[in-house]
Formats: sequence, C-alpha cells, structure tokens
Amino acid sequence: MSFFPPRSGFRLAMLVFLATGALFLPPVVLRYVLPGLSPFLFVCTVVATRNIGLSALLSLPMLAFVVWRRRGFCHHICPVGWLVELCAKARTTANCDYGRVPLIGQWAALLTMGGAVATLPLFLLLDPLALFTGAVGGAHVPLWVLRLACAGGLAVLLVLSVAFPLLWCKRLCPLGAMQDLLAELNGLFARRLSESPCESGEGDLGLARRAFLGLGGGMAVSALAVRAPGAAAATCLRPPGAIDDARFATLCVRCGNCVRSCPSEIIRPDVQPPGLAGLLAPTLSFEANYCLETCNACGQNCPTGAIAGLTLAAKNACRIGLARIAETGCLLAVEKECSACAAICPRGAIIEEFSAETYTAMVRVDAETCNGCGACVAVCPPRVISVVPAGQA
Amino acid sequence: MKHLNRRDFIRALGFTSLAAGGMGRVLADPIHEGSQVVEGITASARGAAAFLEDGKVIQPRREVPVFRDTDVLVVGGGTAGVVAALAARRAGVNTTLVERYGCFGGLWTAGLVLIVLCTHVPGEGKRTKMVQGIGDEILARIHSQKHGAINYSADGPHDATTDPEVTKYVLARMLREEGVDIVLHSWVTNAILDGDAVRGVLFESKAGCMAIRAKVVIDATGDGDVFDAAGAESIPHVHRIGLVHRLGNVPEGNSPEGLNLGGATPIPGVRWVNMQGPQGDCLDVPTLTNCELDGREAIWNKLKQIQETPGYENVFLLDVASQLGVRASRTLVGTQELRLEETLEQKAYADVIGVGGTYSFLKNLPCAIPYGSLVPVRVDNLLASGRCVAADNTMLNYTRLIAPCMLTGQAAGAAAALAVQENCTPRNVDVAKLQGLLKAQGAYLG
Ligand SMILES: Cc1cc2nc3c(=O)[nH]c(=O)nc-3n(C[C@H](O)[C@H](O)[C@H](O)COP(=O)(O)OP(=O)(O)OC[C@H]3O[C@@H](n4cnc5c(N)ncnc54)[C@H](O)[C@@H]3O)c2cc1C
Ligand code: SF4
Repeated sequence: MSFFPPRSGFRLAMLVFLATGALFLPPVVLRYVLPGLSPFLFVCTVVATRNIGLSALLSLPMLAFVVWRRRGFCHHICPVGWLVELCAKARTTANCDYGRVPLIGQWAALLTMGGAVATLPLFLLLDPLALFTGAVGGAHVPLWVLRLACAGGLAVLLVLSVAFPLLWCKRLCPLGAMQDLLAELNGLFARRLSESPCESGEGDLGLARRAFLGLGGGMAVSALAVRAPGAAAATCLRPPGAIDDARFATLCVRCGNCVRSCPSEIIRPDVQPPGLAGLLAPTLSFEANYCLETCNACGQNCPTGAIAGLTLAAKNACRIGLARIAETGCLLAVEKECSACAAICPRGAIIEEFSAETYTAMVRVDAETCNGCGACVAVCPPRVISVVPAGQA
Repeated sequence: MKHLNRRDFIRALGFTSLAAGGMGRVLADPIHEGSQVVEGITASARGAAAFLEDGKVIQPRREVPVFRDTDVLVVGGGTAGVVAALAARRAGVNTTLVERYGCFGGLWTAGLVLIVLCTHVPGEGKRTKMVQGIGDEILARIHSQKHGAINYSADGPHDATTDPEVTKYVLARMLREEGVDIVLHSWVTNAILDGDAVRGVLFESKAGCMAIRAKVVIDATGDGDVFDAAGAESIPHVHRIGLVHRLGNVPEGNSPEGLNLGGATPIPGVRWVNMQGPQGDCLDVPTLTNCELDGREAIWNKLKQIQETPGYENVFLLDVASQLGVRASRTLVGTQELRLEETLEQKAYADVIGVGGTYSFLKNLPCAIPYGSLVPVRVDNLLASGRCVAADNTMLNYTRLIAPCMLTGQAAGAAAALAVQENCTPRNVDVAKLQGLLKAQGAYLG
C-alpha cells in the first residue's frame, strides 16, 4: 500500500523552497513560514489565545486545503512526512497495517483542541512542524540545547519510522490526525446533505464519542490545571508579552524562534525549570545583555502566541520582572564610587536614596517604573542585581 | 640697634624677589619681629566700594586692571587643568594657570579622591594601558616617589592609588619645570566677551578683581564656571556630594562587619574613606555649606563608632578633604556629546582625541572621546576639559573620573596651543594636526 502519492508538485516545490530558503532567504522567512503552515498549531493557538495573528494569511488557506483534501497537508506539504516516507521506502516489505493500534494522534489532537478551549492546548508541542523548526531552524549560540532536543526528537521519530514505517503519520501525529478528524466531519456533513441518514454507521458514532471524550476531557483537564492554585504565578523569567506561566508551558511549542530572533541573546531554553512542564521553554538570562527598548522581535516571531506579538510601545509597557538589589553587596554600602545601575537604567527606575541618619546613599528599585529589562544586571561590578519574575517580587 | 634702611631691610629678609613682584614699599622701621608696615600692598585693584541706590547694591563702573596677557589661559588647577597647562606649554605657547586654592590636583588631591580609575582595559590574561601621554607621565613620577603610589603598572595592577601630598608636589614641580605661569589663590568669576568670542576672564583675589587676557581659555573648573559665564549652553545636574577623609593607625586586615575603613593608600596604616553623601545642587551655596558641615559631623560620628570597636581604638582621623566632593554640576553642550550607545557600539570618531580605559557600564570596552565634546556650540576661543565636558547622563559618570579628565585635559591644552599657533579658533583647529600633536605628546588614540 502507499500512503503518500507517488509524485507531488507541491511537495517538490516545498522542498525546493526549504532548501533555497535555508541557504538564501533571511532566517526570519523560514521562521515565519514553517510553523505558520500547520493548521493544527493554527487552530489550537487561535482558540487558546482567542487571538488571530498575521500568520492566518498562511494558515487559513492551508486549513481550507486540508478540509478539501483529506491529508492534503501530509501528502503535499509536510517536510516531516517526507522524511517519514523516505524511511518507509527503506522498508518496502514491512507491514504497514496499524488497524489495531489505537488512534493516539487523534486523542492527542482532540485533547489538545479541547484543552485549547480552556486556554491550555495540552499536547501542542507534538506538532511536527514545530519539532522540525526547532531542529533545522537557523543556528544560534544559546539555542544548542533546544536544537539538540528537537533534533533528538526528530531522530527518534525517524528511527521509529524505520522500525514501523508510517506509524507516526497514520497513528501518532496530531497534525495528521486532525486532518482525519476534519475529513470525517466533512464526510458526515456530506452524507447529511445527501439525506441518507441510515448510512451513518458505527464510524460516525465513534467519531462523536471520541470527540466528546477527547474534547471534553481536554477541556476539563485544562480548566482544572489553569485553576490550580499558584498555576499562573510566574516562577520563571519569560520574554516580554509572555502569557501566564500555566498556559505558557503548553502554548510554547519549543520551536526556538524567540531564541533565534533575540538580538541581545538573552533568551535561553530553560534547562533547569522549576517544574518539568517548563523544560526547554524560553527563559531569560541578563548575564551579558538586556531586553532592548528598541526590539520586540521575540513576540513577532512566536508562532503560537505564547509570547504575544506586541507593538514596540506595548512591549515596552510589559513587565518582564523586577530588579532586585542585594544591598549588602552593593559598592555604595562601602562608600565606593558606583551607581552604575542608576546611570544605565533606561527608565530611571533605579533611584538613589540618602539616609540623613547614617549619612549614606543607597540605590533602590522603584517597582512602579522598573519593567525588569535587566539593563542593570550586567553593569553592576559586584553583580548583586538580579531580575526576579514579577510574580515573586 | 643699627637702623636699616628700607632696601637693606628687605634684602636682609631675602624678599628681593617679592619686592620686585610688587610687595610695595616699607614705610617705617619694624615694630615687631616679622611684621613690617609697607606702602602699596593695599588692594589697588579693588576699585571703589559698592553703594546703595534705592536700597539696591550697585557696583561702580570702572576699568579693570589687567593682571596678565597670555596665549592660553587655563582656569582651574585640578587634574584636567594641570594636564591642559602642561600640554599647551609643551606645544610652545605662553600658558597661564589660575587656581582658586593653594595647591594642584583639585578633587584628586584636595578632595582626597585617591584612586585613579579607568586607565586600563582587561585583555587576554593581562590589562592594557589606555591612558598614556602626560597623564601617565604624571602617574609614573608620582610612583617614583617614596610612598607615592600603589597599584601603578603597565599591564598588571591598575586603579593606581596615589598619595595626595606627593601628587600636589609632583604637579607643581612639573608645571614649574615647563615654565607655566602659575597664579594661585585667585578665583575666576567672569568671562571677558567680545561678541561670541572669549577674550579672557576676571578673577577675585586678595588684591581685588583683576583681568587676565588670553587668546584661548580652557575651562577646567570642573563646574564649567567659565563657559557658563561666557553664555555657552550647559546642562545642570544634581549628583551626590561627599566629603572624603583619611584615617591613620588602621590595623592591617579586612574591615570588621559594619565598619567602613575605606581603601589602602601608599602610606602604611593610612586609609582613604570615600563618601557618597546626599544628592544636591553643587552650585548652590547653602547646599555646599550644609554638605560641608553635615559631612564633617558624619565623619566624626563614624570615627567614634570605629574607635569603640575592639582593636580599632587607636584609629585616628588624619584629615578631611579641604575641597568638597562635587561629582557633577554643569556639563557643556558641545558640538558633540559622548553617548553611552555610541561607546557601546565602539563608534569610531574621526576627531578622537583620547581613548580611556573601561568602567563598569562599559562592559570591558575602552572609551574613545571625540574632540567635539570639548567644543562649545556657539562661543569661541573656549574649550572645556575635565568633569564638565559634553557627555550624556550616564557617560558623565565616566568623563568625570580622574583618568578621563587627564585625556580631555591634554586634548584641550594641545588644541588651544594649536589654535594660537595657527591663529584660528579652537573649533577650526585642523583635527589631523591636533591628533598628530597629541600622539607626539605620547597620547594613545586607538
Ligand atoms: C567623592 C568623590 C569620589 C570620587 N571617586 C573617584 C574615584 O574613585 N576614582 C576616580 O577616578 N574619580 C573619582 N571621582 C571623580 C574625580 O575625582 C573628579 O571628577 C576629578 O578629579 C575632576 O577633575 P577636574 O580637573 O575636572 O575637576 P576638579 O578636580 O574639581 O578641579 C577643578 C579645579 O579648579 C579649581 N576651580 C574651580 N572653580 C574655579 C574658579 N572659578 N576659579 C579658579 N579655580 C577654580 C578648583 O579649585 C580645582 O582645583 C570622585 C569624585 C568625588 C567628588
Ligand atoms: S551597580 Fe551594583 S554596586 Fe553599583 S550602585 Fe548599583 S547595585 Fe550598587
């Protein structure tokens, strides 16, 4: 049997585009286009964030396409599908009948979409395009952990595809499964319209049950998780415009776009998150640089809205965290010449305060004006300033 | 007792040179030892007294006596002023240096700020000295004196800490060796203007108010007194005002918790203690008065605390700075402003006149200073140097440090001399020639 059509003009065009894009186009193009192509990411993030972005220009036609052509995305567009197919070709004799394997991909897709309704798209990061972007997207120094992880994930997927050809596409991939669901839905409508109710057989009832359980289950789990005490409290520093932490861990698909887009190189995949859910999600490090007043690239490059695509002004109004000065280590505490932090703060949020009683001057962070941009962290000679997440301040 | 005539008397006291300098005429025989009555030392330059007119105080119009005519006049004998005077004089023009107090070095010496920051940048394994030229020559001479400096080296220890008395001595020696015309105890109060061109200054002294005419004036007052008087635009700042002091008899070892015993000096057992102090307007007389008085009180309170600590009973207050620690007041609006972003980008200035070492917010980078930051926008025949040059609110915390003051001082001096020699205004000085002269004087321009 053949899952993929023998020849596809689209696919060829896609591969040529990827190759030339990787070589000649500015990296931002692939960064935008790749995840933007996935209808699964699109539907889930629009539902979860209640917000529709520019990438809809790409995603909406794609959605229409997959409704019209069952598995059209897999057959003609998906670069991961192409790799899976190559693996399958190496094993022509293998048995590709997975009729008895549960529809894991469909459950994942349903749970995720159900979760999205309650703002927590549970398994969004299983999206193959996000994985692909993470693994092959432009190189970037702070990104190597994430790239390694994504490349590792992709490698596992490919090994799996050699051992069980096409298992991923047929049974595991939520993006593929979503297309099946859409097609089934489409079929249901078509039959309803053709007024032959008796034809609605067991499969359709199965669909209704699956949908009910999957969407409902996803919604329930997400609703509970979002409302869990302390879930939304920021425990990590996130890029400006990041959605609250509970949602962030699931909305972020670890594609690495924000890390790549940051000219200051302050965004890092979190390798030591406080909870496992946050593993490799972007976090901030101000060791060498800070969040520039002139940049809003991370949000603009986020395919899922985990980091909102804000205007520059809106981004600058965002609070990333709050600077905290460990006063005993401050040079002013021993009357040494400093106040570098106050001098460099772009917002004048570090204020010098004088105590007539002790006749000493100290610096204090004004919590109202500080947005946690981190400019003060690297200039402090004894390094006694840190930025803490707004929730902890 | 043999009666001396006037001439004999003066000669006997060895005062011939002073007499020639205008000591005046002894009127009568000595009444007490060491005290004579002389004629003509009364302040002839004071002019008639002010008077009241409708309750207002009015100064009578009069011609001001000219005390000196010179090529380059440097106002202020702090770090920047001394280096400027040396640079101008070495370039071959007549140079006069006026200082309101009795010694040279300003905040570096009279202000007891002893640590010279920003001379080096860190590199692979070792540091590289950026501040060369006259500034480094001064440091080397201080270092060559006994107890002159610690932490002075080419590529190892940096942030040299100097002894204030050695520094005052070395600065005065160098000025005299070069033949700079020195005028002490004279407080410059105003500019002499001819349209937009400065032609000299007025100063107050024990002998009253007099004038010095000059072809180019360098404002090294730290507070921009001269460019402000000349009507050049400037930016007012408030900054912390401190009063530095030194402690003697301080035992070796780390300060105990909660006690600030300051930093080491070249003299064993003596440490210098910086003070941040309150923010204030450094041009406001009541503010300066209060900072002086409150600062002293705070020093004595802290000393008491130290002396009550076991092991530190014998620590004593060696001295309190005779010059109040004014960090920043006015900065010039120059034809160019030294800006943080440009420094972090390491912008290459075509008119670079000095490259300083790094400082906290410069992320280990050196700092190039453009000539434009010394040149007023409109006023001519005037250059700024030292802590009042044109810099943004962050970078002024760099330009005010001692080593950068050396750089802007040397550049101002050399440029002023060139302007005199080329018969042009400082703003029209040929930058390539200026850079050539600075390099010939040992400066490092990148
Ligand atoms: C408390 C304190 C701590 C500091 N700590 C450090 C440090 O650790 N390291 C460092 O590198 N820098 C430090 N600085 C900065 C540095 O010491 C000074 O900014 C620098 O010495 C200024 O040099 P200057 O020549 O520009 O001005 P000044 O040293 O202020 O010199 C100006 C001179 O001009 C004279 N003068 C002023 N007005 C007139 C007038 N109208 N007529 C005639 N003469 C006049 C003054 O008497 C003085 O001699 C500190 C400053 C302060 C106040
Ligand atoms: S930069 Fe660091 S040492 Fe300097 S004043 Fe700020 S907190 Fe204190």
